[in-house]
Amino acid sequence: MVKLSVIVPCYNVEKYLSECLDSILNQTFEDIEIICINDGSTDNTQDILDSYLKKDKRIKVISQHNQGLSMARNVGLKNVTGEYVTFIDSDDYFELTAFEETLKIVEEKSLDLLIFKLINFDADTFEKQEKDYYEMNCIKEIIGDSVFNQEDIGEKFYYMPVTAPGKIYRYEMIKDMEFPVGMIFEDNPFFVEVMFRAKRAYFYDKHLYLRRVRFDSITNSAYSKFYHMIRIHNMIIDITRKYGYFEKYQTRLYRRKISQIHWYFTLIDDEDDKEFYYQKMREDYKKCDDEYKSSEAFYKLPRRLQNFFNFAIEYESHEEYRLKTENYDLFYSNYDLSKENKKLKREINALKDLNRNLLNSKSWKLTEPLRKLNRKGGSKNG
Amino acid sequence: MVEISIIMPVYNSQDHLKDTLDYILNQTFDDFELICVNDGSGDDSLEILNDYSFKDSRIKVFSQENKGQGSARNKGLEHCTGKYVYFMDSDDCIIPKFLELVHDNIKNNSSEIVMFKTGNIESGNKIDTPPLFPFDEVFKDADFNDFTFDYTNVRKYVLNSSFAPWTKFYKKELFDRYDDFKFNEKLPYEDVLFHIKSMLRATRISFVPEYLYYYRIDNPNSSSFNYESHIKIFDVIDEVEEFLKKENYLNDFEKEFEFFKLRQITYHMITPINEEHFKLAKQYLNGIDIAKNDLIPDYQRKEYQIFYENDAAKTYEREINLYLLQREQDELKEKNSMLELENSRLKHEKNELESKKEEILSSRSWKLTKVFRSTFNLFRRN
Repeated sequence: MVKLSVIVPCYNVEKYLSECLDSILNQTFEDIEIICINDGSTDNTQDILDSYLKKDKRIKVISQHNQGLSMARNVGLKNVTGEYVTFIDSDDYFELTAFEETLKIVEEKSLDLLIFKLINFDADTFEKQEKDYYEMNCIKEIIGDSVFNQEDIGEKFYYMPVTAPGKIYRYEMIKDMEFPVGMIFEDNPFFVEVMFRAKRAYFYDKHLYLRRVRFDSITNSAYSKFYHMIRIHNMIIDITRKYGYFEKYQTRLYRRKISQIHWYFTLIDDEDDKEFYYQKMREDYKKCDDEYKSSEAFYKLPRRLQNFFNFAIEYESHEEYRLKTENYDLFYSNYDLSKENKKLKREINALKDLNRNLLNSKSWKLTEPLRKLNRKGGSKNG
Repeated sequence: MVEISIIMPVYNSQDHLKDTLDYILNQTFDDFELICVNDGSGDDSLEILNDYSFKDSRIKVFSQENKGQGSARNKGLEHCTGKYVYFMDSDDCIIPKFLELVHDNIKNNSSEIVMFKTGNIESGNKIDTPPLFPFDEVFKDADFNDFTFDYTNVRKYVLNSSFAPWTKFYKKELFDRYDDFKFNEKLPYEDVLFHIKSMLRATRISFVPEYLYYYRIDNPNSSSFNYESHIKIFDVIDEVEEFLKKENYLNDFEKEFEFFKLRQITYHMITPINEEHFKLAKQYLNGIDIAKNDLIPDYQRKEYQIFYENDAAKTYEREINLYLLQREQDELKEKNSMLELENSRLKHEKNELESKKEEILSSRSWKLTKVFRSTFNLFRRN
């Protein structure tokens, strides 16, 4: 049994695949297997995989007709023979000491899960860019350098990076799990369940994975699939319920659901996509209405989210919802500005008074001759 | 016989009733009777009224089962003995000099109705909002201590403005000249026809150009009508038309009456609009050429256009909502730009004043005189 299985789903990545595979094969840590799943590529991906197959015995290649990222990862999982698992997207690459560094810690601390950091780089300019999301700043404060589990972080764990790559998993812990097939945001529910299962987790504060940011990648162009987000949130709620934490995290779950669903609504430009998304959203909210409204948790939500939820149920068309929510935010922005302006006016008046008093003070008047002299002499500071 | 009778219908007013009664009892002019008609309240209103009435004999309390504001005011009229009459609402506010000012004015001008400026109370704050009857702007240079007018000078305020009874201070004799100065007890919006009769029949109307009355706008218990009431607006319109026809005003007020119908009918079509109501609306508003009616402000003409362009309640509802929301957004955005501009201007001004202050405090003059100030302050403290 190898130590680490690396799952690499591949779809039309002839341009970047070699770089990805090389970064795995050239790792300083060698006790690995690489499971490549060709998800029905139509370019030279298969040829490249075949050539690597010949080069290195550690590579396994599985071919299937196109069924999407989730399915490819699931197939990979089923073929794992290693003790630990990690994922990589086939257009990204690892730092060469990634496995050596992480597995050392995993074994030392008997971890179920190790999380390390991703760093983005631009496909064209190669410029690197940290993303707050991966830096885990607010969570780092809580767990520091200790082994932790979900309970140690509490509801903040819903803000951890959910990407399937960027983690070392103990295979026994995840071997019966699956990514939801045919959906985007597929790593969300997977990660939530992993966090509930992991008894010993650790955060390794180092960038070991380089994520290529392309203009046409999945997350950039999937507007017509954004409505998956609605089901994904319901899945996360179900998973939380399954592990017995629903009541504890109920408000946080509702809060994330309503605010994210609204956020994705605002991202869609195409009117038809927007209308479709809105109808799906409305359908779900109407179904959940009774349950949410009869819970204490709903009323602990920020007023804004409670109102947005009700707007979606009330308004039949996405334009009405859009205008209503935009107006709501505009109204409160005006209110805040108005308050700030009032405060500024008070401060200005206070400053005017102060300056007037200073200029009328004996101290200032006494020294007028001195300033007069200086002015004649051209000095700046009287 | 008292000089002034104040008639006040009371229904479930316990929240603000004491305040209102205090406003009345604290009037600088004290020759009045306050006739409170408890209209079948279910809260502590009656107890409060009886309590006050026990302490001040000017307060008379009548009780009846719940029959509505119209009936309550009529009861007040039946029992009033004053030379002048004023209808007050049980949750609003009058300034201490209210009675004194309107009484002086009505005597000086020998008028039959005195009107005045009214503002709002929002969250307990009195706000001098644009008054419902801005007669000081209509009659710009008038000396209101010696000035009366009649409906011919203020045509648009007969059918197309507020109908609230508390906007007028009456001479009782005006009512006595007619046998139909009563509020309709069978229909809601009973103040509409009463207002119209008042404006048309008063031969001398005068005005106090000050804010004397404040209307509470955020009272959740104030008479809010249910769905069934709104459809009665058509009966009210019939009633008004019949009156105008009988007294030969209809031809003279053709445009005003058209605008009246448009305003009232669209205002009372609240969502969800049912088809029956919509059909009635179409029937009543048939044949009006909104382009030709110059009483209609442009922004409202657009609203009415949408009504005429739609043949079904559902589509009208959607379109009018969208239009109103978009209009609201335009207004909010405009306000937002204004506030942003003001905000940056204020910040700039504050910075300049801060710099000036720093300039003074870091100047040689100031530093030189530090010793002087410390000694002076020491002196002062002793």
